[in-house]
Amino acid sequence: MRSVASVTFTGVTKRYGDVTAVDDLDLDVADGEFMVLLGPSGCGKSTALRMIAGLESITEGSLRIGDRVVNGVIPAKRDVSLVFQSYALYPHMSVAKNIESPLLNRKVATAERKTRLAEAARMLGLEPYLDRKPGELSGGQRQRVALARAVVSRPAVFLMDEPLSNLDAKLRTQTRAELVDLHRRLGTTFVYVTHDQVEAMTMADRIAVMSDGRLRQVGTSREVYDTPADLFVAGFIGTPPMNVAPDPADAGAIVGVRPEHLSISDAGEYAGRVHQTEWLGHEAILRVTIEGAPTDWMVRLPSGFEPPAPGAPIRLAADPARVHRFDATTGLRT
Amino acid sequence: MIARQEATVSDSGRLREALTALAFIAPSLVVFWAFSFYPFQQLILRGLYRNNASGTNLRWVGWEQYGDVLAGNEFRDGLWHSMQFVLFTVPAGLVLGTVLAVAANRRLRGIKVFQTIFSSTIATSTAVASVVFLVLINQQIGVYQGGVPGFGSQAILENPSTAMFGVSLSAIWQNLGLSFVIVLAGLQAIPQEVEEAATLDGYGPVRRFFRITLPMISPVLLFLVVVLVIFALQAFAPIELLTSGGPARSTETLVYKIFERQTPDLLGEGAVLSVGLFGVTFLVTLGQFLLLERRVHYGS
Repeated sequence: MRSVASVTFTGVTKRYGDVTAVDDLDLDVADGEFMVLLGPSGCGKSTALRMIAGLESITEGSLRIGDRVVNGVIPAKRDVSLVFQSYALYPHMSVAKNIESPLLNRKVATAERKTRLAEAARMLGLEPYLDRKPGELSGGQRQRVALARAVVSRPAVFLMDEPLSNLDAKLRTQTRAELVDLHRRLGTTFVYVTHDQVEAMTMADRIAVMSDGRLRQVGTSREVYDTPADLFVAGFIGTPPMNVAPDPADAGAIVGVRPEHLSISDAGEYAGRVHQTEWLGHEAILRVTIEGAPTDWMVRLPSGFEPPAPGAPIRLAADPARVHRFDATTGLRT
Repeated sequence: MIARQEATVSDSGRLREALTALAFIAPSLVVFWAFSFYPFQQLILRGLYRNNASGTNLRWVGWEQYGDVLAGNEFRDGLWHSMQFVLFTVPAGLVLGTVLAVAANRRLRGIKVFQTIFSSTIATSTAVASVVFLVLINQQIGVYQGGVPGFGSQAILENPSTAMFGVSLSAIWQNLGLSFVIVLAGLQAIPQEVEEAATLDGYGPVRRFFRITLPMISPVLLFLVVVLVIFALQAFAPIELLTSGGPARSTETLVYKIFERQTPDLLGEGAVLSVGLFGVTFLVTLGQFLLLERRVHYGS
């Protein structure tokens, strides 16, 4: 039987002296959910994760795992596993010992331990490497040992701190899919920290976007992409990011349009000049300097489109249903 | 034809490369030869001669003197005293250095002060360390003038059974700074995430120390054992300053006996003892590497 648990932050704050790393966080991770904490470095996402693990104390607020408030519970008694960015394997132990180590300290009977080790090794394809030391493995294999060590203790909550960032691009894509499979197979709650929006969008049931220690938005990939809660989320999610400019019709508002919702049209409401074109094979990105906009606007065009020459005057039309509006002072969606 | 030309070019290239390499090695080769190899060779050769009381009239005796001295009582006694010194100083230095380093390896305000104090004995000369201990345990002027409990009431340095222990105290204290710094460096090289992983895996403080920390600093500890053993085998100053080899010659180590054979009439014997000490040091160090290497983890 697998234990499954929700994770609930209620008004959780973490301060280091005068610095507030996490500010009044309210977040509810449901049973069995794959929650991704997404944000730029220094946004407090890793601190939030480490508070779940018990590696950071909580300055204010309460944190619950299941029904239990765990503010004062030591890490080993929280029923969580953490996969570190550096994997944090024990270099002097064999792969088998590394995987077994959470069980060795929890007085699990030998027969049960061997069964679980075999199961975890099979699940992650580590059977041929059990007698090796971590130093003899490739980066991807070490990462799987770290995952196996997390799987073997059958935690209620799986925590992962940027576990893919030390892998090369190809392995990262492959491991992403494997993690989604692993989540489906285990049915356990996953809390996953990353700064990579592609990882977040492809794996998450829901994404919690953070910046400056504050939670900006929680929602599915589609929700944070289609209806960003504020200008930060609008600019952080999407490559290239959403184009923004002051609304010519309303001084207190900012409009935002995603690059794929713009088209070249003589009747378009946004006037500008072509700055550059970037041809990417399957599409082309047009950089356009728009009057009043803080940065160039990006326009996504099909690759067959013949791009206008740099310097040419151009008018852009936006799909009216896809124009986002934000309050100029608060940055919030209106 | 073309192939031959290429071969010639590459051969001359290789020669030039070798000459360049030699030019780079030459300075250290010259220094090594002048200060290590040549004197050592002379030392070995000197052991093959006996001489008269004024050190002249060298007579070739072959390996006879080596046989006499290395099988004799002096070498055996000196070796035994040197080993006592090793046994007193090395394990104590290792354990105390590790205990202090573990205690000071914390992120606390003001911990640098303790780290500086613990490492300060590195900057202390052997003479100063010896005088400190002379003042501490000397029979007439010492802070503690008694003996070691169970070994009679004679002062530590006056009793042939405990004098070596007294001399060792000074050496342990003086080496403590080095042991501390080396072990602390080893501890600080352990990634924080590994310690955290161990915490999450349920290792308590004691188990974590013996199962995770100690194996991960084992290369550093091996290095420390080798260095401390060599230091102990070569120790001279604390013995000269605290006991001058006494009482009843109980602190005459091999080095001390070599020192006593600087008079012209005993130079040959001294040379043989020196070669003997070199052999002992070499064998002990080799043994440490072979024995301990298997238990040391050089992880990535």
